Amino acid sequence: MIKVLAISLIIPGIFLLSGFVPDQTLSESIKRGKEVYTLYCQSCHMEDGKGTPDINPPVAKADYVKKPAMTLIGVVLDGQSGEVVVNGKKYNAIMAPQPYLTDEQIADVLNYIRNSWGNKISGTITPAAVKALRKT
Amino acid sequence: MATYNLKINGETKNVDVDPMTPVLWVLREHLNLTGTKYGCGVAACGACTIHLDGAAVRSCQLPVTAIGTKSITTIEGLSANGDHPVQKAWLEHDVAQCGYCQTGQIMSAAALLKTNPNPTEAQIETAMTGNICRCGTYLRIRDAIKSAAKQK
Repeated sequence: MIKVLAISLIIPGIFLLSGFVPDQTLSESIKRGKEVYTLYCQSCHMEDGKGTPDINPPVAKADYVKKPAMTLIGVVLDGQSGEVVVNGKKYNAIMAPQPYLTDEQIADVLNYIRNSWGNKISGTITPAAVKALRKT
Repeated sequence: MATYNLKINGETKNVDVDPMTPVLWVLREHLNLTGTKYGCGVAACGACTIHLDGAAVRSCQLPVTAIGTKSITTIEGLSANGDHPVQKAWLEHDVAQCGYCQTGQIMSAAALLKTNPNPTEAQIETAMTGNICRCGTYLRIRDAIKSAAKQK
């Protein structure tokens, strides 16, 4: 009887872990990411993610945000300068490198950007992925 | 080096600088407009805020080549006699302590009130998040922006 009970708890438990926990991890990361965005990104990319016209490119509904996670992590770590094309428009401001953010902060802010203002890019960026791209 | 004709505070200024020179250094070093301050150099503090076609931007991260035909307004050109509603409210509330950040604070506040003449407290805080004040005069800054919004 105890065995049956244990199994009946473990099996739904596995389903719960595999199905819901990653979603919860992502939603918590997005929530933390909003704070990181407000402090470190918003003054150029704006609260609504639309950027500054002709100067700072949008992150909201931006084709650039669909680039691979590795590329996006690289932009935060190394910054960006020189001409860049976003949604068919050229931009030429400078984005400062922000390696002083923690692995978790970078993962969180990118998860926030990839899931806000109409952006919906599947997958979760993890702090481990950020760590792997840091130049030591 | 390259030559640029920049519209700054209603006048056209001619400068010969490297295309990637940040506008902050064009203003301060080449045009002697030192009201705009250098703080962090990485768009994280807001001290170098200017207006580009009315929008608040960080001049330290803005290469001169990106300006094109847009017009620049600095603190020197915000008002003729230092009487922009935000500047008047600044005096009324004695906002400045050391004063280093206030150029950027005033430029950000003026840009906010231009697009949103009656901001809520939350909207003020959101718009001003990128402007850091090491003396911690945030409460007076917020009060001054509220006063300036009423004056308009």
